[in-house]
Amino acid sequence: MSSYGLEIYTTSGNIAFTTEDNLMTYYDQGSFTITNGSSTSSSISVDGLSNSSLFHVFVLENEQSVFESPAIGATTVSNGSFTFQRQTSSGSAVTTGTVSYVYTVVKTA
Amino acid sequence: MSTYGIEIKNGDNNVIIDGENPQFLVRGAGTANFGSTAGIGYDGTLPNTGPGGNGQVLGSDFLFGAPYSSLGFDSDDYVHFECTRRYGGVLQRLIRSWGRRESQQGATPSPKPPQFKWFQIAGPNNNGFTPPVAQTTDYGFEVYGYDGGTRKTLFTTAQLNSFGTLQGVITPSTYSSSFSIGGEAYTNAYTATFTAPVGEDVFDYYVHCNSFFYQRNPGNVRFAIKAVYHGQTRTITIISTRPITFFIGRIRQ
Repeated sequence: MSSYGLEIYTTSGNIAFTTEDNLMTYYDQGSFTITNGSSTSSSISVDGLSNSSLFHVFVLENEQSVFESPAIGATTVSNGSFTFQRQTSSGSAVTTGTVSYVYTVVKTA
Repeated sequence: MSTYGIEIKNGDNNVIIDGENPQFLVRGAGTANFGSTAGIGYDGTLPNTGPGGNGQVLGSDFLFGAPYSSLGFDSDDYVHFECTRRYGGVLQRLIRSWGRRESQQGATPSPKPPQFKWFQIAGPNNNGFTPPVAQTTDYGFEVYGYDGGTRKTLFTTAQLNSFGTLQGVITPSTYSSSFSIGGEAYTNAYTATFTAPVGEDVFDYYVHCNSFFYQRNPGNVRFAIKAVYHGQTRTITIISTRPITFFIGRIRQ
């Protein structure tokens, strides 16, 4: 228990969290498509996003054949936007096929 | 960062609540049997999400779980924690379920967890998750924001009976062409290990399994994303096909 800061209690009187905790904040979610012949998405705008280790972008493939499995690739974050490059499991760029994706952006503390 | 309103920072000087972005609140929690549906979906279908546009899974949620047995596990056990995604052909919906889809992926190594503890968090006002409505008998505080002229609840203590916190953010980054643990081998695996503090039970720590995708031909493990619990060393080993970020969480009730 901290000697300063904030404590939030549950209805049963137990501590839910304090200012010593790490919490998640929701920033954005949406979808994008990478078309046949391209490996990298267009720039996707997210208000407040910055190239900080506190931000996390989760990308899933949004195709029936893969059941929204985690997309294999690399995310590049800059201030206010990110791009996603689809890759093989060995890290090579993939350009074949048109695939839609969904993403969620959160910030940890 | 807002120029007005509320901002609460934690001991690391990072914002945990502000007047612009929603906090994640607990959407549901409980204990589930192996193979049962994981998490709570949207009440109905979510337009434009999931295969065929009929997503069952609540968007922008994070589902945390841990293997559970009412009898406990032996301290030297390696307990495999998996979460499966599948496509409901009839309802055209994405379905998540606890544990391995053994009919296609082979038997879970012993000891097979009979149940899983879980909690699910989501941002309020997003994809159908309506935060609890404050009642006149409630006390505490609420944080509101505005989006397109509409008031949004960003955080509320209304009916707050549980809360999820983060205990770790880890990304598997150690590469191995062949990695073995708990009786199974994985090719081209990235791994990372979370260690619970001394005196803690590692089975009280939950791994977020949104990104789990277990793919295996019986007798020929190709790749996997999963976690393996080991009570003796208080460790959770994350195994991933690529360096994907995983959250370790706990629920306070």
